[in-house]
Amino acid sequence: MTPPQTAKSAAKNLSPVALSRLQAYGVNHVRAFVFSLKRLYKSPLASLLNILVIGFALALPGMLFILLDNARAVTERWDHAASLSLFVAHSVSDHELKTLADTLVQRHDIVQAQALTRSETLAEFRALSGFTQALDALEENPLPGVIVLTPHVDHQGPTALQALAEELAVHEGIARVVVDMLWLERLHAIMQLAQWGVDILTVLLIITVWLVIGNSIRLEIHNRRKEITLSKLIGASDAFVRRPFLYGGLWLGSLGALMALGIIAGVLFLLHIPLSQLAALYAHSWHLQGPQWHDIAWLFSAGSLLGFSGAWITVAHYLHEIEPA
Amino acid sequence: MICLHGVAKRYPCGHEALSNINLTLDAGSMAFLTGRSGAGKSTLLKLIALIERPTRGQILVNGMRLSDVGREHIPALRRSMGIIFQDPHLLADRTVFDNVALPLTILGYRRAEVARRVRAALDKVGLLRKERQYPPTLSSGEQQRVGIARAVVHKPPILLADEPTGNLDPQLSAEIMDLFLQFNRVGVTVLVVSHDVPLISRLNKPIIDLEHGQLRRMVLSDDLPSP
Ligand SMILES: Nc1ncnc2c1ncn2[C@@H]1O[C@H](COP(=O)(O)OP(=O)(O)OP(=O)(O)O)[C@@H](O)[C@H]1O
Ligand SMILES: [Mg+2]
Repeated sequence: MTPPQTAKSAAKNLSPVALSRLQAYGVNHVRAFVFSLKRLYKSPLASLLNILVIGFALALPGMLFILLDNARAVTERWDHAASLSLFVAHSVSDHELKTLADTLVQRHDIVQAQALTRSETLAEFRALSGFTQALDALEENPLPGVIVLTPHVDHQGPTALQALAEELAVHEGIARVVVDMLWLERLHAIMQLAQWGVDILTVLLIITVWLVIGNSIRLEIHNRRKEITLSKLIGASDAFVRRPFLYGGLWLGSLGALMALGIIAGVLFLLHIPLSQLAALYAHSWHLQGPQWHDIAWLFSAGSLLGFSGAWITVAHYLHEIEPA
Repeated sequence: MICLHGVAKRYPCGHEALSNINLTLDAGSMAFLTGRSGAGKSTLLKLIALIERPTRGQILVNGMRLSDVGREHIPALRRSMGIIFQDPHLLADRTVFDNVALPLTILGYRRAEVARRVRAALDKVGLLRKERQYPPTLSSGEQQRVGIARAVVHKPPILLADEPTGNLDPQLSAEIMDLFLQFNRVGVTVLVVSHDVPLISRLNKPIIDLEHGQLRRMVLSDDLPSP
């Protein structure tokens, strides 16, 4: 070391030669970034446990969101399948049935009217119910002719459908109108409830992630008390002391998010086969929709943000307490 | 320049460690501070580095009133000083090299520059060959010298040393004092706490004598009886 030339030049030497403030700032950030990752690596078991806890806490709401999205996609298809069944009077002949269907399909709020004669409904019932022998025992076909109406998309809402049903109920030759709406309404209510449940769970698990990160950063601060004191003694700013902890929180949060993605992928893989079998029972060509790119981006930024903010709160709270004396 | 006007320090427990200290150390000068154990020497250095605040009086460092220096400006003040602590405060889990590099890391120096300066500082205190070792594997004297290297590595304009030669043999003590003199010769303001009166009285610098928190006398080494 060459001794400094004058006190003045010594003072100048304090700012690194050929390094702007901005560069020094950048260097410090990169160092804190790498340093905090090395700290995680140095106590692998503790880090892994923390990351696992954060991963599970993020995976649970993430997975529920994805399943809910899938359920919503399926029920939306059912929404479009809203229909009215018109049971015609026994007195209506097959020919009159067809004419009635033809007049109904003229209406602006109806796009399709499918007429099923009494014998057709019997055949369908026979095929679906399996009561072949019981039906054969009957002398007369007990089933009425049916017209299945598909309302226009604009008239598929619960109230419009109800209004249409009431109007048709008094129509000549129609005995009964069946709107199978209740189950749809119930399904919507259940979906709403599920959404709330997932939302509440998400909030609780976010708090969990915060606590886990806060606690691990608190421990880290405690373990490095001596280093913090010394750094402050030789002129480290609060920002400098804070930085590695903030990056530490960021690492925990983002690695936790990666872990969560892994967990979600694993669980969806396991769920895929039984769910496909279930869908096959309903004769749906349906595929479990995995996490989309925006889901992944969401999870990752949520994890990082939670990690960073959790660390920030903890560091702000504990770092002031550590002052050299 | 370091200047104390009527400075007193009473610790919260009620003990008055320093009372009515008036002292001026011109920029680029060098002085020694002696006194019995508990006289308040460390307290005086802590006040200058704003590790403690005085209960009375005014302290000026480089024309800056320390009472005006807020919390957020303390780091900048400390970076303008090299402080050698009575207990070297080394980090046990970092190598000697990394310990000495700490002030440069805080200042954001590049790796190559850090390595160059750290090696130069370690060379000055004779520990170049121990750079990869960890502090617990060093002797007390070696640890103290690591602390000295860390205090001078960023070439601060002010150097405060609290018994830097406490654990060193006479020859090493003389070498370290010589290092401080070298620094002073190029303009660094140096204040050294030392009990080694025979050594410091040879160096022809003012000696400040503290007793029970009071300034007993300030003598030039010429005035002392030759040992
Ligand atoms: N943090 C503190 N709280 C209360 N009293 C303190 C504190 N630090 C020092 N003192 C007291 O102030 C007095 C001066 O202490 P100081 O450390 O300045 O002495 P010193 O001259 O450096 O002694 P030594 O040569 O043993 O290092 C002592 O009586 C000590 O007990
Ligand atoms: Mg002392």
